[in-house]
Amino acid sequence: MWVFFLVWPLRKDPARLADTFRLMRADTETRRASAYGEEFHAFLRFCKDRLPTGSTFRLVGVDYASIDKVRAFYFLHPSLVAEHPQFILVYQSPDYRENNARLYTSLNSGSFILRSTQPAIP
Amino acid sequence: MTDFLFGLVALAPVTLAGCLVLSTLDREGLLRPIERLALGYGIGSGLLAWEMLVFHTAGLSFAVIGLLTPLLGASALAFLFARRRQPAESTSESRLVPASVPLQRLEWFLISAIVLELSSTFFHAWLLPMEAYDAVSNWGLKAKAIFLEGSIPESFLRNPSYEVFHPDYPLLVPLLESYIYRCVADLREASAKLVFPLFLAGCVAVLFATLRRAGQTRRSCLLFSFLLVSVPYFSEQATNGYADVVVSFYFGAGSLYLYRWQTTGRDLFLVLSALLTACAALTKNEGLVLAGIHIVWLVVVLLSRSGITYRRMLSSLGLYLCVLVVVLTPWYRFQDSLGRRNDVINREAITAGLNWSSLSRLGPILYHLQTQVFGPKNWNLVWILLCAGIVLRRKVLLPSPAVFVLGVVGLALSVYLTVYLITPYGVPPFDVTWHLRTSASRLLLHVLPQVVFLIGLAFGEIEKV
Repeated sequence: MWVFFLVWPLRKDPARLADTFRLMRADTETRRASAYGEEFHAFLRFCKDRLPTGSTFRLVGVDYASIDKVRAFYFLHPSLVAEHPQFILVYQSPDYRENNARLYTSLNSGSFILRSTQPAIP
Repeated sequence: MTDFLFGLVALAPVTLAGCLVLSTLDREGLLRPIERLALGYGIGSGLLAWEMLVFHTAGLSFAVIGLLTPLLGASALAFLFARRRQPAESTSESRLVPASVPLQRLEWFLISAIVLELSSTFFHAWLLPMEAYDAVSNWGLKAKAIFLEGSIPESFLRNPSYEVFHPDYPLLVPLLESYIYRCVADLREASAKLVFPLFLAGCVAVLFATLRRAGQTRRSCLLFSFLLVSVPYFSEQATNGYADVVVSFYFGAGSLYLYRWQTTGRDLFLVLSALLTACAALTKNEGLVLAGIHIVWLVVVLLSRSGITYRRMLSSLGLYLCVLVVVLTPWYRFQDSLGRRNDVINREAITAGLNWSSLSRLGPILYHLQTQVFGPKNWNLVWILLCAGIVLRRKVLLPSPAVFVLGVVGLALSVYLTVYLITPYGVPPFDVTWHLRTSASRLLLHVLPQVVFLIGLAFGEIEKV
């Protein structure tokens, strides 16, 4: 039974083995991209690079109960989540607009960062 | 693999401190070397977390030298003082270690299989980044915040935006991870993730040693150690950064040493059980409930023993409670200062949950439980073997002290299931099915070492003396 459960996943999905070998040679960020999803990881990297140290943010376009939300919170720390933040991180929502916020920088047409023009409340 | 080497270097002094404490306590040489190493790692980690909580209360920063000097210094002094006070003596039990017999072919196979399983767990822990839900939201995020702050960031734990990540949860795992980050001076997740497979290896070592002391043959002990490490869900949970394998180690070892105290009467095992159980409560909130279950076990054993003096009874109970209080006080003082309360179990939740309509949840709960019992893909045959052991080998298990271990398993599971009955669920999709799906299997891990121990006692072969 032990041998069966050891071998069965590889028999069922041989690509897993190739993936494992690919990840073995990869660096931490490539492994993270594989776990988080390439697109979402690229968005988070973009945000992390652009957000000033210690800034506050809010996420748009990421489901509240999803694992993506907690991964973003973890990845972007020490930038902190706030209800009235300095920055609004918009993911895959091309039509999203907000009063009192202007475009800060964009990754592509759907994912961008808005900067609030109102004073932030931590 | 450099990540793991860094992690090992960081954890070596912590383990050394734990081993020195154990050598101080174990004057009679009752612990086996592999058991001592596993316990040294577990107790050293617990002491480090305790020390960090004390440092935080005293306003001291978490510099590596500042943390390690008192930890190693105090444990070395205690060890030397104990050595000088009383020369080491071997007891009849420590002299009972059988002469080494060459390993048979089956034993070699079992050892290879255990090594293979453990290596695979270490490999997967190294390969995957911190990405699982609780690993990042609960433990990893706090570890990162502690590392970057250089102390426990109270304002972060009080931040209402992060309230959903349980700021009231104990901090042993984040503190341990942040200590490794501090040692390697970088946020190397792969180094910090070494913590978890090491606890899995610790579970295997403690189970092996306890079964051996219970009179099982070496072959039998290897077989059941292999059974434990080959449970797919157990080894998987030791790779993803969740804290449940840590609770499994502390609570499992805490129960098994309480059993050894019950069967041998040696205070060493009582102190070990108390220390390990306290560390379980420093790891997760569930640990406090599990500590309560151990206290009930201890009280029942003390009251049921004939010919035991009140003084002896009170000293055993007092010793256990003192260790728990000393270890847990810094954490609960800190938690109280935060002003946070448990968001799942609190007075309102219990009041709201205590009504007849909650009983309708019994159906989904029992259904989920049976999917685990008959789920060999996740659990191997462990739960089926436990049921078979209770039914077929009841004459072995029930009249022996092992019935208390069985009682602990039953009580822990009952308490956990009660939580699903009384938790109020307001907003969809958060209902009992969701709650069971996301947490119940992990809670079963907490009693897994005890379950495999019981299976071992039921079906193992006894050493012929």
